[in-house]
Amino acid sequence: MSTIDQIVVEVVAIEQVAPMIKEFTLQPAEGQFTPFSAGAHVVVEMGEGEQRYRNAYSLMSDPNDNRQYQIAVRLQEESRGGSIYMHEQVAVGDQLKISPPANLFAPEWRAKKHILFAGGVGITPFLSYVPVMQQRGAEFELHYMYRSQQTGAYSAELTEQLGDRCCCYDADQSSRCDIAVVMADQPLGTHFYICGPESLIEAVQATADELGIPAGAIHWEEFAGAKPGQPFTVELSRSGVELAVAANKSVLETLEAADIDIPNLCRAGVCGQCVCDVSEGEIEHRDAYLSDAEKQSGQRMMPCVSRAAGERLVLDI
Amino acid sequence: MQAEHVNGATSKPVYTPVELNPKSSFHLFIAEQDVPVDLQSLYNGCTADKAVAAYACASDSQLLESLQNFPLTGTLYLAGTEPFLWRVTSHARDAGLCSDQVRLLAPISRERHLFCCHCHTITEEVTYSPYACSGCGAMLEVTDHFSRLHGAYFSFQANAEDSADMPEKREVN
Repeated sequence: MSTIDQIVVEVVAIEQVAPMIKEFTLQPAEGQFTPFSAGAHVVVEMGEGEQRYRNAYSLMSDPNDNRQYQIAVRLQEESRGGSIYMHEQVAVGDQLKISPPANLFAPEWRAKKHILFAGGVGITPFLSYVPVMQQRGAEFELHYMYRSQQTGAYSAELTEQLGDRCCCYDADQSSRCDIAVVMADQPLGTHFYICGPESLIEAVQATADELGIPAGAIHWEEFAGAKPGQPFTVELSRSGVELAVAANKSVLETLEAADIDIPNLCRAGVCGQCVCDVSEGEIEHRDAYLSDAEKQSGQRMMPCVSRAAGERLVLDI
Repeated sequence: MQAEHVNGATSKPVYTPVELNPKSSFHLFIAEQDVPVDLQSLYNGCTADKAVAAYACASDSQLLESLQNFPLTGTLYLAGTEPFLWRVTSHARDAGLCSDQVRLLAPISRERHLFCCHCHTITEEVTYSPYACSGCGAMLEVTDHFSRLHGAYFSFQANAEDSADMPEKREVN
């Protein structure tokens, strides 16, 4: 299991908030939740055995409200199972396990101005930013891009609540955000946040680079966990155990299924918690944590997303 | 604890050669007292919108004003003593600059500011250890633990068990 104690929660409400997005309201089975910080996420564990999934979801409720947590799950057609399970199997009254909140996407509170770019279900972390930024009187703008035939949850509420601080762009209505116009001529101390698909993150990064905006002012959270790949074998040098990593499973998931405990927070190659030493085999690095030099050395890998480039990897665990 | 252990500190800044940021729309070069040769040659090599200035004090009102009017797409280059570099960096951060917008040339002297953990006084122009605190007079062991906020190195009573028996004087660099 995890090195951090999981919390048992009950699903108390499920709402279809967009054609492809369901919102889940969670309450603790016993005791109380802790408040969390804006941008935090939890790892939700669902199902059992072969059908056990662990996915990270941003907490989208008010961070000061410890009565309940809310998450929103977009149905991923290419899903390895988690989002389909959440959409099709989970019902009101069911119990799930979640990790305590962890935060890899907190606002830079020294910023003079915050500009938020959300793509589709990437709106979720910003829903926890908004009440805190309003409470602190922070200057911010929200640019929300979606396809109303798939996503676009909460756009009406946000527009009503934020007025002209919220700009909505519905690609199904041919409304698009000109990122360069939004980013140009912003004052010193402006920070930019992106949550959404990789293409949106890359577009904002490229625009920042072109305009000469410092990389330190750009913050992002990818909404992608492990992607499938070729199956391979992983050997654990200290115990001699050999495990088969299936095409649609990550190394981390394979280790967990064999009851091997690896600390982890994000399950997306960002936080660095699950880093493993590799003694043999070529690695296909897919993370955003290790430096280029570390990747080239071939001695460390992030088992949550990275895989073997060949048929076998030997981990020093 | 031996000084060698203490000096395994990782907070001591490492200064790497500074280059112009080719993406920036504006470049500001600030020096302490006089513009040194390497800052001047960076300035000469810059073809974009630029300005250069020298200040005697890191809190000079004109310097602070220039940071207030600094653009999001600008880069700041600093030369001077280590305390000056970090004092200006601290003002720059308050003004809203990101750390990657500030480039520091290697300090022009090896003199340190020393933060006394007993009386919190900062003693200036320190080049060897142990060194007498200008506040409480304690003979201070100089460490490599550096505070970017204070622009000073942490120090404590040398040989606290027997302060009459001082370790041999050594140069710090």
